[in-house]
Order: sequence, then structure tokens, then C-alpha cells
Amino acid sequence: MKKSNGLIVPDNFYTELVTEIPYLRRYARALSRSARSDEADDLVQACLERALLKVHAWQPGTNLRAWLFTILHNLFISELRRRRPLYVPMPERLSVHEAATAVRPEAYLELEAVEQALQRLPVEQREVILLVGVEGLSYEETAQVLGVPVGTVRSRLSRGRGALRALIEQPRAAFAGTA
Amino acid sequence: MGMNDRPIDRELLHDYVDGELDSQSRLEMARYIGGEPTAAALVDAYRAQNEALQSLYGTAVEEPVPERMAELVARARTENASRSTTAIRERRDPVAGARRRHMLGMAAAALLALALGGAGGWWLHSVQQVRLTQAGIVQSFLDQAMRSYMLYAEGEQLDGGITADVAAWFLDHHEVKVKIPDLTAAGFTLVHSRVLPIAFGSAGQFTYADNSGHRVTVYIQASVSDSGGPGISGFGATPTFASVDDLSAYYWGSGGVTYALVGAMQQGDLSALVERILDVAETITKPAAAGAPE
Repeated sequence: MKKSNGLIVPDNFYTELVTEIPYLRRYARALSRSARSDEADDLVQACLERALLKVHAWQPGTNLRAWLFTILHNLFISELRRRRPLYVPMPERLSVHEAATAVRPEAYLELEAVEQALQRLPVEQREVILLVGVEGLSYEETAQVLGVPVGTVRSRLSRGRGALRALIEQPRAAFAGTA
Repeated sequence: MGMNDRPIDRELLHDYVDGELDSQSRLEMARYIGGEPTAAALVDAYRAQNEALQSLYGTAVEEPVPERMAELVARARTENASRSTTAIRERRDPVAGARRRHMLGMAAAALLALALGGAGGWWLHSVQQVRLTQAGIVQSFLDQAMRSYMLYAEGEQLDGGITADVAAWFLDHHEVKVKIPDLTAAGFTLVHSRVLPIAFGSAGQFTYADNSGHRVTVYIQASVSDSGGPGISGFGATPTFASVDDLSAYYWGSGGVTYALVGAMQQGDLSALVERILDVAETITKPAAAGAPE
């Protein structure tokens, strides 16, 4: 019997994919050094195209979010390598959200300071801080997305948060990099 | 051996903040932090970082999905659905299937134009001996026969796998004895048979396959009404050839039943097959004769 082209994908894959798009956009926007959200969206669009092409490599029932974030991460890294920036520009416009006023005063951090500090971290540290602290992935899932051992996730997280803390508390200090 | 017995690994503070500790360890860590201001300060700092980052970028999650992304996924979903549905499965490529359906539709429109006295003679190149007065009926029958072929006989798997007793159905509902054509001498084995719903009558389809995966169908219809349905007008006893794109068919009528042999092959190959069926059809035209239905 001849095999037909194109396997059959469960229809709910597509609906679940759409529900993941906001999280992909959030992560891409946080990763991207640009303040222009359409650059981050370009990355997400490319991620979706890749995911749809590779859909047969995804096993239903497994972690769709981790799979998608892995694709996004790989695209981001290859794009980063392609560009190889020698100079990292600071974001031109910083957004201070009104949500800051709802944060407890004793734990309040100036959002501007945090954003600037984050952008100055090496990309490996930035990624783990975002994946764990914002996207809520476990250390295991983060390790899967980045393709590194869990121990590497922990050490990057530890160094990254320590560096963030130092940068936020002394924003004008020169950042030598602890990576 | 609890965590109280040895110094706390400061690295575990991250685990604590990120919910990576089991409930027991979490309790012990909380107790430790309660008594260690420097550790508490670190925990506060890490939590504040998370919250700040969530505030900074969290709005993206509340924004609607951009149109280009929604469209991309919707398009892929539609393409997947058209591959998966038990409706038309293209054995070759989707373009051929779409072309066939288009031509079937155009042929119907052309015949309608003919019947109404309009132009559209190109259809006559493919269909011979079409009488204008019966053109619509023949076209409708061929349309159904070809669509049934595309629907149930193409594709890698035969839909449903149900093998119905078509002969019994036709006997019950139309008092017609149908003998299932035997094409084994031509290398075709009967692999599937089904009864199909149509308006004003019954239809049945026998699907045959050879070793190379080629499929042909014998599609039959019988009418319940005296005046409606395909009848015999327009369907001579001698098979007439018709083709639409890469689908070929021979159609004929006999004993109150109209027949079509449909396959994706050249006329010559199909005519060799139809001759075998005609041998069989001889017995069908005499319902009371010998040769009981299989």
C-alpha cells in the first residue's frame, strides 16, 4: 500500500499552540535587546513556522510549552550568532509599568533599574532568570529548553541573580561580568 | 537527618524561591530563613527580581494574539483537517484532486448549459453519445460515481472497512439481483463493498485493488420511483466512455440498474476490465435466470 503524504495531526494541537503564543511573545520580548516589540514578534513568528514544520516530531501528551520554548531558544541563539553584536545597545525607551505601585514597598525595585540590569547580563544568565522567574519553568524543563544539565541551570541562575542584585543596588558600577 | 543538622547550602535558597523543594525541605528552609536575616534578604531580593520582571514583560500575555500568528496556525490547521477528513483523499497530489473536483463542477455546469441550449461543447469531447435530453441525469450519475471513487476508494486506507451485503440490500429494496463482478482474472481483487445513500434510490460500490495498489470501483444505482432516478434512458446496454481529468469511467444500464466502472487509468486499461464485467452483466439483465448472487 502506498503511504500518503502528511501524517494526521490531532486538531487540538493547533488550539493549544495558539494558547502558548502569549507566553512565547513574553519570553521573546524579554530576551530581545530591542525595545521594539515587532522584533520579538518576528522571532515568535519564526518559532511558530518552525514548530508547524516539525509538528511530527512532537509527541502528543508531552510538554508542549517546553518544546516550543526550545524551538524559540534555538532560533534566538542562531540569530544571535548570526548577528554577533560587538556592542550591545541599551534599550532606547524604558517602560515603567503602573503595576510597580502594587508591589510591596519593602520588596519594591525600580523597574527601570531591573530592565537595564537584565539587559547587561550575559545571555545564558538572562535566559535562565526569565525561564525560571517569569515563565515559571522548572529547573528540569529549563534544562531541557536550553539543552544543558540541571546543574548548569542552577549555577547560571545563582550567578545571574547575584549579578542582578549587584547591578540594581549599584546601577552605576561598572559591570565586569561574572559569567 | 534533617537540614537543621548541617549548614544550609545557600544555593538551595534559589530552589526555595522557585518552588523546587519538597514540602518537608521547604518547611525546614522556611524555619532556617526565619532565623537568618542575610538569607532572608537574599530570598526577598530574588523574589523581588521575579516580580519586577513579571511586571515588566507580563503585559505581553494579556495582549491579543497578533493576526499574522493566528492566521499562520489557522492555515496549518485547515490543511491538516483536509488531509485528515474522510472526505476526498488524493492519492496523487492535492492539486490533482482539486482540479478533478473543479472539472466535475464545470462539467455539470456545461451540461446544464447544453440542456438549456447554451454553449459548452468542450464537454462533448470527453463524453460520447450523450443525449442532450438525458445529459443532466447522466452527468449526475457520473458525478456521483466519480465522487464515490474519490471518497471511498482512494487514499492509503479504505474508509471504514465495512463490507456490506450490497446484493442483499438491492434485493430487499429494489427486487433486483446484483451479481458482484469478478475481476480476479484481470488481477483485481474485491476488497470492499458498501451501500451508499442517495436521494430516490440506493447506490452501492464495490472496490477492487490489484497488487500495485491500483483501485477501480463498480458503482451501481437503482431507483425506487418509476419516473425518477437514473432509469435506463441515457444508459445504453453498451458501455460508454467518459473521463474527467485523470479519472476514467464506463457507464451503462441494464435491468433497472445503472453501472459505472471507475478508475484512475487510461481508457484502454479500463476497457479491458469492463469487458469482463459485461460477461457478468449478461446474467444480471435476466434477474430470474440462473446465477444466484454471491
